[in-house]
Amino acid sequence: MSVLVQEDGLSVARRRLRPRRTTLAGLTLVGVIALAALAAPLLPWDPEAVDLLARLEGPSAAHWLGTDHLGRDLLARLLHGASVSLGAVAVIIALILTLGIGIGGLSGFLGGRTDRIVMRFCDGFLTVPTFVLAMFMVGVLGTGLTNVVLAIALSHWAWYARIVRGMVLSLRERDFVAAAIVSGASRPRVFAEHILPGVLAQLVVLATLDIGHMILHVAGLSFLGLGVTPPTPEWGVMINDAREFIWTQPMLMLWPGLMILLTVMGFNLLGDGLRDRLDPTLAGDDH
Amino acid sequence: MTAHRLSVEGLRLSARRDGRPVELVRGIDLAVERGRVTALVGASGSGKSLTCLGMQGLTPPGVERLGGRVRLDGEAVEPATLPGRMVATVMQNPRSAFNPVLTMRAHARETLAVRGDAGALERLLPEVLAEVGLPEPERIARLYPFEMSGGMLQRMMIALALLAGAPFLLADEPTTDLDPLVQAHILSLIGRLVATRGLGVLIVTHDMGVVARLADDVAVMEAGHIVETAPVAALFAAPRSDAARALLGAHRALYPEVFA
Amino acid sequence: MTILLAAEAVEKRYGGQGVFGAGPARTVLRGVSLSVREGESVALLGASGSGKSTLARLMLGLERPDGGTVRCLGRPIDGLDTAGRRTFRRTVQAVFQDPLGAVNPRHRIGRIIAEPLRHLTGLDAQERAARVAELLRLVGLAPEDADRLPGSLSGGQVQRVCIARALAPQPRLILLDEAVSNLDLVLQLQILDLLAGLRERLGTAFLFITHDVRLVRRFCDRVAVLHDGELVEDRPVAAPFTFDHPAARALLDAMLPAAPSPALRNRSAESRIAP
Repeated sequence: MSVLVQEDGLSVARRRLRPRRTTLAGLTLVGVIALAALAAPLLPWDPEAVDLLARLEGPSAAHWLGTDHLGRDLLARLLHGASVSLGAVAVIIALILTLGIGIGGLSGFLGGRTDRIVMRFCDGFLTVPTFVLAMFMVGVLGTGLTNVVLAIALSHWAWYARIVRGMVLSLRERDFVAAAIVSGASRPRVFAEHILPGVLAQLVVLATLDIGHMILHVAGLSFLGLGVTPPTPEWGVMINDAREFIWTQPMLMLWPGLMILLTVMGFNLLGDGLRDRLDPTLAGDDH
Repeated sequence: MTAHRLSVEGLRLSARRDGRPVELVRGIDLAVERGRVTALVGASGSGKSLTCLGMQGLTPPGVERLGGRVRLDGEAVEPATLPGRMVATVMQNPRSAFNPVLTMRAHARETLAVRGDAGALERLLPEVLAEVGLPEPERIARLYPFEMSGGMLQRMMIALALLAGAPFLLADEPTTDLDPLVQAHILSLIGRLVATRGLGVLIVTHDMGVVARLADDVAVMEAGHIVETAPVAALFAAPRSDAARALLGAHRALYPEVFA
Repeated sequence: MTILLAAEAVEKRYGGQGVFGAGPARTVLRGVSLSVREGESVALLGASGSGKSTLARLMLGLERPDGGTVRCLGRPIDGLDTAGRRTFRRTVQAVFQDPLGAVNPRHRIGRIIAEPLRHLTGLDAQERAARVAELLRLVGLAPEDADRLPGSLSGGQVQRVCIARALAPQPRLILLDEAVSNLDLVLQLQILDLLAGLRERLGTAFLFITHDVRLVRRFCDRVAVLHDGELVEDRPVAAPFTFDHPAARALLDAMLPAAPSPALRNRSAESRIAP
């Protein structure tokens, strides 16, 4: 018998429930930034209030982090930027997961000809780079956050659909799915009760790890002037605005850069932790 | 390679459960002699697989070795030097023992390299493949593990053991997952190698049919102890321990016409 | 006697789906007919690759045959309506080979055993819990085990859970696909004795798929042998236990001996092994 040592489930579960320090750090970072995003509208400073008499000022009692080239409060803009970035990313992830699970899941579950057709369709989407699609959409529909969000979602969902399909295909062949069918579960119930939960656990992990990447996309497209347009505070736009003053006021560029860095890092650490917790099969040996 | 007897004395292995150490193997003395087959039998969880690992100086992750000395012809040896040169192994799931991205030839080359004899590959490989009953050596050598059945892989494991030239073979449930035809082939292959090459074999099994088919001596394990050691005929004729009686009772229930 | 489940001349081919269209198809089953009557215990014997498990999947409606029909209580199982499907599933349950693979690792034992009760019976949550406790006791586990996850049980215990699940809707036939071959011999016999007891008390029929001839003799009253996708034997189990077809005889000859004998260990006399 190959049974060597069976650790009892309880102690394994307990060890897995105890989060690692890096996960806690990620959770804290994400928590603080999300809180900032939520609190931003309640703060007394208006991120779009122009004060040409107080241009490019350093930190002061009135403006804790100073002001930008139009005299707008930097802290207010950073915090509002958090809600723009996180909001955009939340919508993108929701779109991607819905499309990915819906289309990839059905394709894998139904199999056969449907599957082949859907997968060729996905391959088509996978060949289009995000930035090219974004430029095309902005060219046709005009600039704006909505178009950037749509462009990013449309260029990423097919990747998720493929992953979901792969997971569904491998889960579908497992004996416990056969056992559920023999137990009288209908196909939708087999999908909902036995396949979807397994897929979701892994997908949440992937999505969390991808959030950083999405934030960079939003910022990058906004930096290029394709996304959020100037008066709206957004980190990518802020970096773009700060370019001219990189030598005189470098902090103008560093602060939004730091926010992007911290947010991306926070989500990546959280994603790593979730991966170890929810999906031990993907976990590395790094603990 | 002149050792005749591989033995372990006072082998004790423990694992931690809920923070408390639990002794899984509690002081075992066991020996394998060249040209003989020793069977280690017991119910699942009795510690027989762990003992088999312990004889090669190995412990699975989470298991701690509390004591035990491995000896070759009575002389204490560093167990870590045994695998490959002195001791070859065959396991229940042969697939896990192969590197999925290497061909059989590459596995054979690696095995010979351990012996410092990689040059002999072209000469020895067809020879051992024929010996274990794998036909068309040229074709087999090019195969990857996924292209082979469980029975073929099990034979390949034995072929690699022959290439390694190890005088002792430790086989942990080598035929449990195989169908009866393949099982019979593997068992008679092992039996023949014992006769022709003087291999010393330890076979771990729960099936007294395998014991009856192959073993010379039997050691019966229960809860980490060896509770009985006897020549095979004596054990079948007059088992002394409860564990042996239980195993034989289950076994005999399968042969109603013999033991009516 | 009612025929509970029958495969009638079923065929199955697996087409190799290559990158550029279909590859050559491999025929796994050729015109196989096999039926199980009320209360019968039928063995399906065969070497690996003989098509046993494919036949099991067809008879459970997990895959469709390329030819022939599978019938449950006389009705073809392909194209059953919802009520017909419920009758089929209530009539035929199954236990698979790898117990840990056959249970959802995220579900607790109680939920696993209750699954057929939820889908196939009108029991409410409380009645289901009571039935689960009763089933756990029946297979030799404790009712408290309902709250545990499969990962915390041994392979033999999880296989008992799978048997409890199969028994839950009181089926008239249980298909056992190599259901005990992963367990040690003592456990195998305990489980088979448990099933034999159920057969005596409830009249449950069994289709017992295995490669161990010894278990067939103990547990079954009819044996069918599959070889290379064809049914080559279908006969009652009686003493002396013999077969006509060479492939079936080979299985019998490969049976492990009951007792050690000097002749068996006269190793130098053994001929070279045919590949």
